[in-house]
Amino acid sequence: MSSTAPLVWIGTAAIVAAVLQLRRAWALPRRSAVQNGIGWTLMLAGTALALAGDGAWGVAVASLGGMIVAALLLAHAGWTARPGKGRASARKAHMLPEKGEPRQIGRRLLTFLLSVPLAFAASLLVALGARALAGLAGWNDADGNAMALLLLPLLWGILAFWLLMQTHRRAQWAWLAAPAATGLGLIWIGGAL
Amino acid sequence: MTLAFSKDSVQRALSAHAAIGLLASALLYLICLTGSVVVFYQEWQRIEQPGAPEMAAIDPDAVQRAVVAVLATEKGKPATTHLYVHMPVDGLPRTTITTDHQAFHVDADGRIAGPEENAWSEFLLGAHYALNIPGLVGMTIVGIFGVMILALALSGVVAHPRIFRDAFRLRVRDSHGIGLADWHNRLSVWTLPFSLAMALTGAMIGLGVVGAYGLAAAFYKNDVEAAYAPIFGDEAKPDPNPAPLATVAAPLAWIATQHPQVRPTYVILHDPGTRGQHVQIVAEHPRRLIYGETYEFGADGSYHGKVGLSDGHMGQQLAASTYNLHFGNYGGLLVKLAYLLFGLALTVVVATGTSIWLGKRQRRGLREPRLRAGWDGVIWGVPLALTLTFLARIVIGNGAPMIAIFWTLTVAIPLLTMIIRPEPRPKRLLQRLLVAAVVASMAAATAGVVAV
Repeated sequence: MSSTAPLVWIGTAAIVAAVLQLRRAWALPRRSAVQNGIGWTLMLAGTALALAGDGAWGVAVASLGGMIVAALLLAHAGWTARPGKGRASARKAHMLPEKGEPRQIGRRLLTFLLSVPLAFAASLLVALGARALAGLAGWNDADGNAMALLLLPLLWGILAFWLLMQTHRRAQWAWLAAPAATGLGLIWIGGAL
Repeated sequence: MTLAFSKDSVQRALSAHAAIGLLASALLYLICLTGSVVVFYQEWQRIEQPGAPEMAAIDPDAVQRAVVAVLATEKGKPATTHLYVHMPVDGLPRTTITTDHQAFHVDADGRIAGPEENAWSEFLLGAHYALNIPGLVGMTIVGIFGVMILALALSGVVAHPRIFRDAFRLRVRDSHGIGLADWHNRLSVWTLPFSLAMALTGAMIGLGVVGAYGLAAAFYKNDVEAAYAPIFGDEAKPDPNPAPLATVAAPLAWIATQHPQVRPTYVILHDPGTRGQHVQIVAEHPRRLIYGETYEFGADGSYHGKVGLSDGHMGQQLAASTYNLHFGNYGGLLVKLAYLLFGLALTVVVATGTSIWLGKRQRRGLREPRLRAGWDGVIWGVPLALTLTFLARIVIGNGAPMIAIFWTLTVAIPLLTMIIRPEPRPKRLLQRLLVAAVVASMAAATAGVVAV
């Protein structure tokens, strides 16, 4: 890293300063939008500087600097923490049935099927739909294919989470069907089907 | 910063977080732990085989001699389709030639020095990359776990409305689960950029083939190679008719004069000794996340162009950056140490997640000693199994059945703790065994180094 661009070092310093500022801001007795804003602005500015200095490599290096400083601050917080008398949470996660509760294995299995294999299928269709749309827009195949490969896991993760957040089964089906149909339509319009 | 989610959303996010976390927990823990350790893949190889010849650089003519020498040992075997020369780099200053059948270290003069013996490093990489499952199935499964980390990160942030506001509180001396929850939440927040980057790049790598099959089915008449070709370049058509061996020295010399700022990491000779043979040189570009640029040459050493991973389409640069960003080999030892630290932090986050869930159940009056013992068996059993596998490599040698040893122990330890010794908790016993195994491994490895 001997010939690292100066902007990367300045960006790293800004991100480190952002972490320190956020620590100060979040420790205030009352929430301050200005103090929080300074922290986040420094974070954004640091990222932009590192990006301008050495591209994605610069951002990766600068963000590591911020995370290391945060780890040191945490280590200090842990080292100086005093024994407390607070009680830990016992709130239910509703993952397994408690004594006397019905097991609802069928319902749980269906939730798994919706959020894992079916969410994967829907995400794949959306990713391929986006690739078809990119083709229609005149993108190069390299850009379109890489975008599809990036979108597949990203959409799957988001969709799986979102499906588990729904309170009704019908909403889950709708959130699966809408993106899947859209993706399929785009693939068809793109001429791949 | 307090995120404004409704109470109902927070509760549902907690349920989602617990559901995904528990579904993934043991294997996710294993993937994170092996991922942290495999950051030092190059260094492990040096520990495994300390006597292999090392060099800062190698002369192109010496590489040519080495290629000729290695191919000469393969007379009578089926012709190799790909010959790889690993060029000396800072993390692994060795020249190693790998064919379809064997791998040799060579010295700085291009003479064969002996077989490559890095079975532990390969086992470790295989455990992280594909849970040691051959073919594409294992990689795909690991990719799915990357997706799960993404979903866990999202649900975790929504399930804990004060997670950013409390980002600097760490009440390690609080009992009754507060300390454990603080470790989980703080490490999660501060490793969030790292975790998201690891999850997304890991999932892209793992699910890449599945995605490529989808692309091939939709746009390339089921030709998977054609789906990859716009990004990584396409394979030339083979012509099996015999021809004099291609020069690899000329392309290396060309790179040294035309692109002195880049560093060749691999020379790939396709279909050596045939009329279809051609040479690719993969070269690292300084201060870039891409694993390298691929420079293409004919059998006579003539330059045919480059694939464009360094300056081609954005998609090419993005795809070529996933590997280094995931494995942390883009900034020398400092970045590797940071990756080890954050990788272990992510491992702790996964481990404490299930422990927190078990603790909450215990506080609600549910007594589950076997479940608790089984999780102790995972948390301490997996690193114990990993250490004992390394010890077996050092003591037995390169041929030790490492996959069998590791997976037998990884499955047996939690099961045995659940069945035979759920109480008193096996945690302390397993911790002591782990310390003993680490000390024994270090002693054995040091003795191995000294013996050389």
